[in-house]
Amino acid sequence: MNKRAAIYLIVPAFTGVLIFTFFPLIQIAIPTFQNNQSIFSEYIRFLQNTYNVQVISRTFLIAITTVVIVLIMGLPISLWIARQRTNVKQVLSLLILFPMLTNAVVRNFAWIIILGRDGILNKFFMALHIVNHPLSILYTNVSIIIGSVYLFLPIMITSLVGSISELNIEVEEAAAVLGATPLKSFFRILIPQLTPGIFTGCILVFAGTMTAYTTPQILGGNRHLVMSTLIYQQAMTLGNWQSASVIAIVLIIISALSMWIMRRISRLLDRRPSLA
Amino acid sequence: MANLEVKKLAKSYDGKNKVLQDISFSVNNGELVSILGPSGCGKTTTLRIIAGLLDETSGQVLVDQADVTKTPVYKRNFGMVFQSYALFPHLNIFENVAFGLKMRGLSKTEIKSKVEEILEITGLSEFAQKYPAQLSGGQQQRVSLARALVINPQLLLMDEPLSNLDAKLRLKMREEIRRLQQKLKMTVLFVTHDQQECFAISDRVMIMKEGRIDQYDTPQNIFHHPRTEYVARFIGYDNFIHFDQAQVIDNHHVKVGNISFESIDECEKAKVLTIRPENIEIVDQNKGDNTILGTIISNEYLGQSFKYRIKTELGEFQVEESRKKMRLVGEQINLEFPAKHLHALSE
Repeated sequence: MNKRAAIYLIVPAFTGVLIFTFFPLIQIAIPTFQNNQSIFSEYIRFLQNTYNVQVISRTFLIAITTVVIVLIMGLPISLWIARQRTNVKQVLSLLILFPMLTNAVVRNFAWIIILGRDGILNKFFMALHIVNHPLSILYTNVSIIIGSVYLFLPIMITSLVGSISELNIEVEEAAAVLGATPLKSFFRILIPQLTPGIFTGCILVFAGTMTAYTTPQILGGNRHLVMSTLIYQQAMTLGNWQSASVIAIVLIIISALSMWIMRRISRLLDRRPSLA
Repeated sequence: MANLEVKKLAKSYDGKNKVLQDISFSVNNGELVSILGPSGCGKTTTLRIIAGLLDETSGQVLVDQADVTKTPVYKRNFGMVFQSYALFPHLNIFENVAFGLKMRGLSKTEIKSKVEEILEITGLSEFAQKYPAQLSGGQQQRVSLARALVINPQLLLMDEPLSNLDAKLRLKMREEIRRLQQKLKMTVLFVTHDQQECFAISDRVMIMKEGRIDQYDTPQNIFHHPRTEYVARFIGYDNFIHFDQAQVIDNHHVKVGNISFESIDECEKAKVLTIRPENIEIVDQNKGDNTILGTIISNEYLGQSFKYRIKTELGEFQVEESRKKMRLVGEQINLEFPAKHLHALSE
């Protein structure tokens, strides 16, 4: 097939992406710059409001914390799953994905039952006399993080199991024969080889947590808004579409910027030459 | 380097099936010993237990008389070359080779001089800053060897190191391994399934069958005096005549069917006669003893010779003959088994 024909063939798909992805984005973006004073005045006004900045930093903090927890929890589980026999691995991978088959609202209601004042967790702590008064976990940043970790752990594990399965186990054995203790082998041989997989997992979890709506809505309540719930409140409750658009654009910029930074870090850690 | 002694090594994963049993052998200082056998015979398992990558079920591994059976792999000070080379993909060649020295806590200047020296010996100096993925299979193989040797190991273990290389490179690398081994007086245990390869470079060869050692001897002795039919088959004795004790006439004579055979070996405790395809002669006249009449059922051109499958009253035989013209299928011929090439095997 010649190049010209290939370009013609790509046109329908390209147009589709253009219409369904970029057109709505542009439609959201344009009104935010249409202000009488200056082009960025809507953004300046938004960022001058300390409450908004608080929501942004809360969203960011929740996302980063979730990524770190999910990574720390996901890595050992993934290692264990990836190093099982093929059929065991398949069953375990399916089980990991199983929670994702349930409805997000239902899953979050389950966490309300667990984390609430009279929830299972508080009853357990009280029964063991670890605490005297029930802890308020629900409707805090902590409950949003717990919900997000639960939501995104399967994604991280799936991403990591894939990368670990591709590794040659003899590489780690070679390190051991050369005198590397299991700990040294883990940090110097295994982790560096996994950098691309870890990066992909982190990006997925980060982007997911930054933009998640159901989990912070149900587990965060009205006093712990994140950017996505703030957008909803501005647009649907207050009817302030302009403000909602501004937040949406800020959210996109922050997410894109964070991903770019993560990518840079990942590049620095992974010094392998890229072989096209 | 050191000597290696393995005593009564056994391995079983489930307590019933024995992957290895009663493996006892020693490798002298500066000796290159090959373990030869088909896949699943336990040769790699043996090597991995010696390396410490796999736990034994029972038995002992001694290096210079010191028991290392319970020493963890990372404290054993052995070098190992893997079939997949197992280079660290995220480290360049210099760092790959330096890894073992780094783990041993050597100073930067010491590491630099040692790595540079071994890269020089293995002809890799120009690749120091490259990454494994940028090297060819043969070059990766040499890095793997350099990385194993730089730590000055007591013992070098090689697990099918040449099987991922193409035929030409394999020949070159095995010569290089042998040259290095003799130059540095290394004690090497070399696992392979390639008979030619292991006979070419080994001081002694150990042939394994179903988790046991079948024969452990010099390549020459194994070649001329295979102990069992299994070993004989492995090293190219393709023709076998089975007999029982009733058919033995005297110590060097056996009568099978109507034909009496004379063998160079003692036949009284033997069960099988064997001969290599190139040692059978096709003769015009049937002189009686050691000769059998047969019909050619297939012919094959090997370049320097022709290979025939011949059907006789004692079964099929494979014969190689150097001749200008190929014999045709269906031709009747007499096969003579010269007594000096006809060996008697006990198993």
